[in-house]
Amino acid sequence: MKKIIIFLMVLTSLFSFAQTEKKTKHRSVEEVVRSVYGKLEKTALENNVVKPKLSLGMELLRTDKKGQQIWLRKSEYPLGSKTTKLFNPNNFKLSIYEGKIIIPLQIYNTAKKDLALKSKKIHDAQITYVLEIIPIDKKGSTYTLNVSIINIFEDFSYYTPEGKRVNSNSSGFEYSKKIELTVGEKIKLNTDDFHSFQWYVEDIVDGQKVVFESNKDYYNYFNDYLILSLESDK
Amino acid sequence: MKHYDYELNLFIDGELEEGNGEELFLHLAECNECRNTLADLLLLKEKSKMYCSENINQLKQKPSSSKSFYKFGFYAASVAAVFLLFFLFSRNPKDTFTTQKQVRVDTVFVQKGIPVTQNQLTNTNSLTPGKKELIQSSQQEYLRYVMNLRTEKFTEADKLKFDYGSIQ
Repeated sequence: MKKIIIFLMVLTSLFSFAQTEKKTKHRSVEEVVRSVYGKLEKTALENNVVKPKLSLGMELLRTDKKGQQIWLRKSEYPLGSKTTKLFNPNNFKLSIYEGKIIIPLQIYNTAKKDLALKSKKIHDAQITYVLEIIPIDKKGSTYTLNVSIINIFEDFSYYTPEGKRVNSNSSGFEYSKKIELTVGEKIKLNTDDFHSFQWYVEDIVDGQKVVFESNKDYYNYFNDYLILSLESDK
Repeated sequence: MKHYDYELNLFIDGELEEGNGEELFLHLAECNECRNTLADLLLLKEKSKMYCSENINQLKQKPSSSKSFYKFGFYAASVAAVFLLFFLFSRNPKDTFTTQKQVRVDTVFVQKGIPVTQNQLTNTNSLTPGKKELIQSSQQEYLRYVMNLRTEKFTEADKLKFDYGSIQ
């Protein structure tokens, strides 16, 4: 299910990207993939960064509002290369590294904690952080990386920016940015802006309808930091 | 000259008939070779006696000590197994995810080169005060380290403009 969601999200993003480029409606998936990654590939080739062997690490640190650690999660190390049906690495001269951290939904609002423990929907809900890293330039031991963060909410409904409630079994968003990182360096990616994505989970607990909401029951209690490290390039 | 090897063997074993003894001793008085044979046989008999007595002692002692050793091992293993089973079944297993009656305990991910205490979120209620303090100080140290790292902020400007929410 998760793979299908990610696949659909990537597909949607690719097609949306294609639409924004005002291309014809009859482009194949391969063409769309190439239009997205082709530009980055061109930049990487111009900068002579062809399939570097990077050892990248990914962590997710959550602290409470007082700055105390709640927990720390690490993805599999080192991050593997992206290989999908859509993206065949043999067709590209760039490397795409992909890391994933899945976290269960934890309600921090003490008033709703007991209800959350009884809610099957809260128990089943998952939030996935997908980190996609493409090296596109190199100066000495400093790499320029195109870093994309895809945040997927499984079994969540959401609010549109206009405040309209939309029932859905999956939702999410993507941020993308170019970041410089030197071998041996670790940086943290501040994701406060991600909290602008408003979601809700509606469930019946003890015969009563309960709504768990992003700000009141979740976002207001913590800060998340994605930590990206470049351990080596050999 | 006839030699009396067979009769000598009978004599050594105490099986020589009384009537044949006189003849044998008369012969021994004359025959040096048979006297040597008798001496060898006597020596052999004595050695075999000693050998048997030594081995009988060993056989008498070895099985008893071995048996008690194995018996002790068996009982010790049984007691250990009972304790182990009791220990295993009396402990409450810690699940990765929350159930209605249990507290959430997060999965442990281990990364190369990072001290173990930094990799785990521990159910601190189950720890001794010393270990708890050690983990907390280690966490604090790591937290300080992370907070001092260079930060890249992802803002609205970095958000890709399409709506994932439309996926059903």
